Amino acid sequence: MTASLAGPDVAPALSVRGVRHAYGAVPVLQGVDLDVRSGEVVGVVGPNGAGKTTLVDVLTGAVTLQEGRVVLGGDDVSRVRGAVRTRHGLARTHQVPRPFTGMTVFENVLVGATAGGVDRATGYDRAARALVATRMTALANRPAGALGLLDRKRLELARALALQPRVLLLDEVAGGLTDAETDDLVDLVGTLSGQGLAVVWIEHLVHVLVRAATRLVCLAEGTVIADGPPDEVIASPRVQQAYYGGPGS
Amino acid sequence: MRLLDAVVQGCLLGGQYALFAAGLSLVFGVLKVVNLAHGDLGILAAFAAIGLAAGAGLPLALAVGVVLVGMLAVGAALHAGLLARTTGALPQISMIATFGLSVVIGNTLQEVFSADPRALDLGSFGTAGVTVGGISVGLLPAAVLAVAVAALTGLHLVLTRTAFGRRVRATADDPATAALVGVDARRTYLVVTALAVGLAGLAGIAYAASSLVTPLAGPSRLIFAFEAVVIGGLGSLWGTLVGAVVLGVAQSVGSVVDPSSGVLAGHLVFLAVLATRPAGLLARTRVRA
Repeated sequence: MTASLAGPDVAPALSVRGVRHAYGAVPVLQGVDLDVRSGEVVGVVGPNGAGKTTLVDVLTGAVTLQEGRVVLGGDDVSRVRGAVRTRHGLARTHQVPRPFTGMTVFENVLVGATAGGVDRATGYDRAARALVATRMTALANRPAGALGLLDRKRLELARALALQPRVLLLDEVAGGLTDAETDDLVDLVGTLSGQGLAVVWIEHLVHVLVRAATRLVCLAEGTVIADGPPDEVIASPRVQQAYYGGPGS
Repeated sequence: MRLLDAVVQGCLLGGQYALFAAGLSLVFGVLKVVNLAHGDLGILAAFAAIGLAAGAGLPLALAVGVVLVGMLAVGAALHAGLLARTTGALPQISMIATFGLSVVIGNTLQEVFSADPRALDLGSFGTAGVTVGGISVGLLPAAVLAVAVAALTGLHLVLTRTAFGRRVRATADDPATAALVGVDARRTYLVVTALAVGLAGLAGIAYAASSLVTPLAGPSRLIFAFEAVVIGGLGSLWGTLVGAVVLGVAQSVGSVVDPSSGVLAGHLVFLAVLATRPAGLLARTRVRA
């Protein structure tokens, strides 16, 4: 089923089909379809209440899927618990970083790197490479609880990368960063996607995504109202209307 | 000299309390559950060992081995059957559930073994001792203290040096985030509970080897373990050892002052620590650290 939807090349790294979700009687997602391929950076934007956070929760398994399907690298994970989805290649960062504060930076990264039956040498190697990629090696032995905001965000990223994901979910990762720090982040994400990682980046700072994303998806009132190159999506009348109101379709 | 002797005996007694307290501290530190049946689980192990050794005639070492393995299974069952169903709910729910289990274990043991006090017979080793500088040191209490230190050291090394230990600390810190980096929190909790109940079993057997036990002795063991954990600092393994020794010394020295006031002296030291250092004497070296 997935293959027919995925097109002629390869199955998308992430495929979301017909996802609906409601909190009680309030519908939040009303039929979301989304494909993300290896090497793509897909930015997800949308006004407050568009359903971005719920989409993250559906993808990570934080909420139980009510309707639709989530497929990771060809595996239907719709009914798979969140803890197990990492084994299907999904990793995420949190909007508010949540390091294990009682552990060192390296230990934080090792938890994921050595989970799921990975042998010690491989796990340590993955953890070390994740720290190099995020330029955290100098802080490896610091207690994670003592880090500042930027370093906490980088640690989140390192911890996610150590899982060697195929799909990386970035949740509002640019908030609170300076321009220079944001440039760093955009570069890093570009490098990672160049290595074949599929990135889904949910962000309210649209200008960051316009630079970082290869594709932009706009959610409004629980559905995808635009999907395409960032400039075109931003310029689209439907997107303008969703953000700024006024007359429209 | 009597005072020095009391301090030495108190330190040795602390070994037994530390064994009881280690599992209690571990489960509290990781699952945030106060297992009120912890003492009774130790007494269950003690009676099981007595039953197998004295009743069924098994060699002592085999009986103890069988019981310890059995207690790991009991711990796993305790988590799967009770704690897993009550985590996420109010903490009081798991406390009430383990309180119920405590009552069930105590009364079942009384039904099966009667209320008569019993002991695990270790033969001559149970009463052997050496005299050092005029102070007599029993080999058994010294062995119990050594086992307690070894158990706490082993636990510390597992928590700080192994991948399993990192998973335990990550889960203790933030189970939801641990799950997102691939840690199965339920499995971690299950293994931790099994280890803690295994330690309770070891403590119960050490207790039954050192003195007479009755089926309803669990709650008093729980109180001493609880006091040791609080004196040392909640969730701190080395604190647990220090707290257990402080409690043992307080009880032992108290008995020298007035033979019937030993336990009272322990309670008073506990209250004094709670009033002046509510976080415990070694509040810094946490299980999570």
